[in-house]
Amino acid sequence: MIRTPLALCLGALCLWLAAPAQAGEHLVCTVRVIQAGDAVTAAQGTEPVPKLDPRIDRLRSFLLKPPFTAWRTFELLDSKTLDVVEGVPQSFTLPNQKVATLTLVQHLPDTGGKHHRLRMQLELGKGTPNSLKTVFVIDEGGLVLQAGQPHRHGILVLGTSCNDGAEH
Amino acid sequence: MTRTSSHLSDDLLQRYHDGELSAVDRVDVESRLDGESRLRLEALDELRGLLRTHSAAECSGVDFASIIDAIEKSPPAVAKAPPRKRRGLVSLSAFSAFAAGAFALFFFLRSGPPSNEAAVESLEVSGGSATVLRMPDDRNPNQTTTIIWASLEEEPGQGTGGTL
Repeated sequence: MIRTPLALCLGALCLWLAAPAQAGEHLVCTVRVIQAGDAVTAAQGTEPVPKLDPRIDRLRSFLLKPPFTAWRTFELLDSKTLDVVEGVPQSFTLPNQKVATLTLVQHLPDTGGKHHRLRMQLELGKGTPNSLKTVFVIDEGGLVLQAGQPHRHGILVLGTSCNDGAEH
Repeated sequence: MTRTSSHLSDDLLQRYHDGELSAVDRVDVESRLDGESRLRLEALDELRGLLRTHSAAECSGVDFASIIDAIEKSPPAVAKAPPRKRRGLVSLSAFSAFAAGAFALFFFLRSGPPSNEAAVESLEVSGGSATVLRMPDDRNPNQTTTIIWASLEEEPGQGTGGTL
């Protein structure tokens, strides 16, 4: 008699694991703020082995490729976890004192058996003379990088990924 | 089919032969027996003898007492069939587990890992410049990882830094 509830629980778990978040649900977005520093000079070339913060080792494959080969150190300065609801902006302050605002514009439904797509808006320095505003569409769980803001003799790299709760 | 003799029916003669008639009826039948009826009774006697002989031959090697004794001492172990309702639930459980597994596998196989390739729909920048870069994706050679590069000028009061 215990097999029925067990099987139903197992089924529900599988469905929960398999099904991406549905439109209207909240997402969890993780924004990793990385400092790229120690710029490589022309005399040094790219020979020295870059130093990567072990907390961002999973981003190694991205940070050791151009254009990031222009820097030799990568340090995780901050990691923001945001509960994002469609149409509701979420803001936080970057180490360079600029305010970053992330908004889930639209949660696009499954098409053709692929991942859900997210239309996101990222704003940096909103309301200031030096600002960025971009809208992009990416897979749920996909990683998008934003880089180039000057900070502490280097640049900031923002790695943003949103999903239905499981960290990617 | 009932075959009637001159005086006695087959049924009556059969019952007389098997001893099923009352004493009065037996006397009545015996008073009416003729030559043909007696021949039919002899045929019935012969048939009974054959059946007894055959049955005795068939059962001569069988020790019924031992069989019955063995059954009484150790009844054969027969699994009790589950109640109909429980059998239905077990089937439902198995089906549910199979369906859930198949569903999860279907989604896992058809989705694959998420792509890091973003479609940048708009890019507005003030006080600097911005561009969209793409680097090869190690997981999928056919896809890229998107970098939104913005070289924003520093706000007054911030430290110095280089830009790309």
